[in-house]
Amino acid sequence: MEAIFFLGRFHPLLVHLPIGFLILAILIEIYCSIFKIGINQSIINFTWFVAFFSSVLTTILGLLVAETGHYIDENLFMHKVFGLSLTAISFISWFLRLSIFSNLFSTSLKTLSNTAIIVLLTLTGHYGGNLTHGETYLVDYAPENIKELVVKKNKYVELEIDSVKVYDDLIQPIFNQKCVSCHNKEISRGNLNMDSYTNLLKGGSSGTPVNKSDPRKSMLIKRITMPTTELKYMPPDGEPVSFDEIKTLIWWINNLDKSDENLVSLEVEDDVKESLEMLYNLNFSEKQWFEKISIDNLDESLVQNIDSSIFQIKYISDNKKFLSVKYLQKNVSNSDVEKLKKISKYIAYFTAKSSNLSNELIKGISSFENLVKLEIQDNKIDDESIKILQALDNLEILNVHNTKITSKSIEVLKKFKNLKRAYVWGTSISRSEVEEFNRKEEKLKLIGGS
Amino acid sequence: MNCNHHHHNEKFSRRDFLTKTSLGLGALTLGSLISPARAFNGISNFSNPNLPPQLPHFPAKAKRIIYLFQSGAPSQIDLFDHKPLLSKMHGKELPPSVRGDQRLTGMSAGQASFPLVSSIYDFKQYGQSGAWISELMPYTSKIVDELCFVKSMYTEEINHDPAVTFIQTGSNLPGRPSMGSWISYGLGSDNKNLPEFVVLVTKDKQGQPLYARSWGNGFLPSKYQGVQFRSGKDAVLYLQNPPGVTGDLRREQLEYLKKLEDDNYRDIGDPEILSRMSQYEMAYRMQTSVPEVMDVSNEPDYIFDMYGEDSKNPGTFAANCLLARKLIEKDVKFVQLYHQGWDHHGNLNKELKIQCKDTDQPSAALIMDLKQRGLLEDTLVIWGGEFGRTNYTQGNILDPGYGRDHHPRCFTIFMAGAGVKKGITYGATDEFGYNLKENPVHVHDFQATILHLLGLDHERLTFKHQGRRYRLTDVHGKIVNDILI
Repeated sequence: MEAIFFLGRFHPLLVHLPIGFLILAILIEIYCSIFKIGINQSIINFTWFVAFFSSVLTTILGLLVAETGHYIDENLFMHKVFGLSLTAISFISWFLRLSIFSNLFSTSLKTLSNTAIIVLLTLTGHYGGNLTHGETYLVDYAPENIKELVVKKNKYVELEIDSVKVYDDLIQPIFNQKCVSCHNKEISRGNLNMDSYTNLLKGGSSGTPVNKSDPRKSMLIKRITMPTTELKYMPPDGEPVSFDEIKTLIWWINNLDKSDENLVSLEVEDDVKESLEMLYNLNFSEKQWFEKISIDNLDESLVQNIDSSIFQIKYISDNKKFLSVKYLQKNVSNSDVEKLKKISKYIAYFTAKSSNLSNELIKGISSFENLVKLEIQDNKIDDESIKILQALDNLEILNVHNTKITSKSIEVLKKFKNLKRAYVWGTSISRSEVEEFNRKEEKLKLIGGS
Repeated sequence: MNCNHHHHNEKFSRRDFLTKTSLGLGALTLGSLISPARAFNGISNFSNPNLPPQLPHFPAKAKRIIYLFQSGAPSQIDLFDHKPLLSKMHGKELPPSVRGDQRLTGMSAGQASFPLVSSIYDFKQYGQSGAWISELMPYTSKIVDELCFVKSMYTEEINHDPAVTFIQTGSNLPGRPSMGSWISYGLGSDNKNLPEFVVLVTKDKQGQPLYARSWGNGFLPSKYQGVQFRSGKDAVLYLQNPPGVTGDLRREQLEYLKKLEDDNYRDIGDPEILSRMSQYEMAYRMQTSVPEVMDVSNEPDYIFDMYGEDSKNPGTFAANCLLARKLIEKDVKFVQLYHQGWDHHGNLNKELKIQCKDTDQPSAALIMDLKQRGLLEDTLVIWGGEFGRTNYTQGNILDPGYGRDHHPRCFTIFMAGAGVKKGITYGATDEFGYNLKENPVHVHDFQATILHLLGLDHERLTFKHQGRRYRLTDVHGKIVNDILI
């Protein structure tokens, strides 16, 4: 077995021989045909022979190295197919040029096969390179827009914290990167298959990989943290498991029973948070609704068409998508709200203080689907208005101080889906009512009271 | 003569021409290589690095700031940073190992001994958060659950003027724009009728002088400087029309002036012309907006009661706090109050009482008033000075008139409102209250955090001046994420 691995690793070295010989053979033929120079056919044939011979040798070593199981089958497949075809076509090229068969081999056929060789050579080389250097190696430093075309979105970024599953999204990706090439269904070294939670917990020849009571004593953690010179150190080659990954794994074993749950349902210590932020670009800080959704770009001309003496419209951030809109005049009218219709889904903050809002206008506002903050204090709005605003599913902050709402609205406010704070100072809702409400209610807080 | 005149009137110098065209052409070629559509956006950015961004880099937690600046450096040891060890070691010498190599000011450098002195004021824990507050601040102690104390602030400066200049402008040397100017440059205005940056100074206070550079624009265009509102009849000087000049006449004058200055700008291209014109226009609009905002006659009595009796007396800290709220309601971006008189080298115990009486009630009232109006949702209030005071006395400890000297290694500030965790205490000093024990927050870190709360990236908010791009935080500043929501 060891001998096979030893020989197999010469594959990347030897592979350059057939590449060189094949290109040389093709170049000689092109050269001869352009400059009409006759070269002894046996020299050309010899070149083709060494090209073929070295490809066979390389292929054998390649098959040996594939046996080691260090590579993931699906990545290997294309390289294997192209490589074998290349060996086959190099054999045909050499064989047909032998003088006995040369009359079968017309010039156009030669051109065709030579082109095929170049194409196959490029493809095989590319897939082989991807195996050893990683799929993005070639374009890591390419200009951004070329990169965008080529590189698939990295799985590691833009995870939304609310939907992250502990094992599937945080733990398995580490195993996939560092362990699964040797511990999968086909090649399960040490009888350990790490391709899923259940298979992992079945363990291997050396026992269970995790120890719930003392995570640091888990086989899994021991093997990846022992000195790299130890024979049992994992992974035996390639990138070692990083500090942040180890930290994440220990945290996971501590919370093994919650592997199935969402990240948000777990207490995460600060240092683990830092590691998760490093690994997955997760952002633990509280995000507002509009920061979590994607929306098509806003047509700026729609904003420019709105009279800036009536509405002050500002972007919330420099990605120029969501808007903060403030009403500037004293008497808001139907036609004013109508003007916002085309940009309504971009409005995240809306302010219309002391502007004589009526319930009809409130209806218009209640169609701003992505509204997060609404400031409509000092208006003559009442309990009816609050009922209408209930349609705002994403509203988090509502300021209705100095309005005519009464304690009847308290129950309605409770029904808002995402409301976190409501300002009710200067309404007929009393301070004691507010205090009592806040004592019982966890999600929504009322502020103020008279 | 004429020839000279022309020379000065050149819109672009030879140097301007060369840098702009070569960079511009470079950008054009590179830009069109990568994406032809972007080529022309590229050139406009290159040709003017000083175009104000006027919008946040990312969604902001805070839209406005009130900075209650306590000039002179309040004694953290007597107000916030409770140190029981000091009462045990009262009168004993400050161990040299604690002092280390800390330099001293000229005022106590000649002192033969540095006796530790505990606060004569009683400390208790308040609220659910259990924050320690001195009895000098009965009103603040009631609202501690709204506050975020940072007890581990530190600075390099040891004297007032450089320290104030440092915390206000990010450099100890005069000449940089103040924090408020950077913010107004970065975010623009939310109310065209009032300046983005307003300054209110408590009247009739003694103490270290305040220089206008603390709210100056430095090298930014002058329209970003803070506008000081004064107490008394004319809040902003020379705003009223002179007798006999009507509003219409003033308007007409301004229109004509604008025509002249537009020509002038086309000739010279000096951005200060535009600044000046926008200031004329602002002044015109302020003729109505300022009297309106300064008028507190509509405020109900219970509001005055909340801010304390001083609040009816214009120009006091309490009256300024009330005004600050009114300015914030009108969407002024940055309101900076200055209250002098905290520099207690002597008579510490007596003077502190007076200072706290001036500031404690109004500061707490302002925070609660903002809260009930829902303004604390997107307004950040900051309370603090330029450095701290020593744990040892300046002067003889047996003399009741002893004081405390300047101390840059630690001081306490507190914040409340938008984007900041409430009811927490961040950072700590050692048991002597002399060195920092955990989570140090440098002045630049503080500034970076403030900009971050406003949605500005302190590393991207730059202005090119004298050949290099400047930032409020120079090349420093680390956002204090732990205190952010």
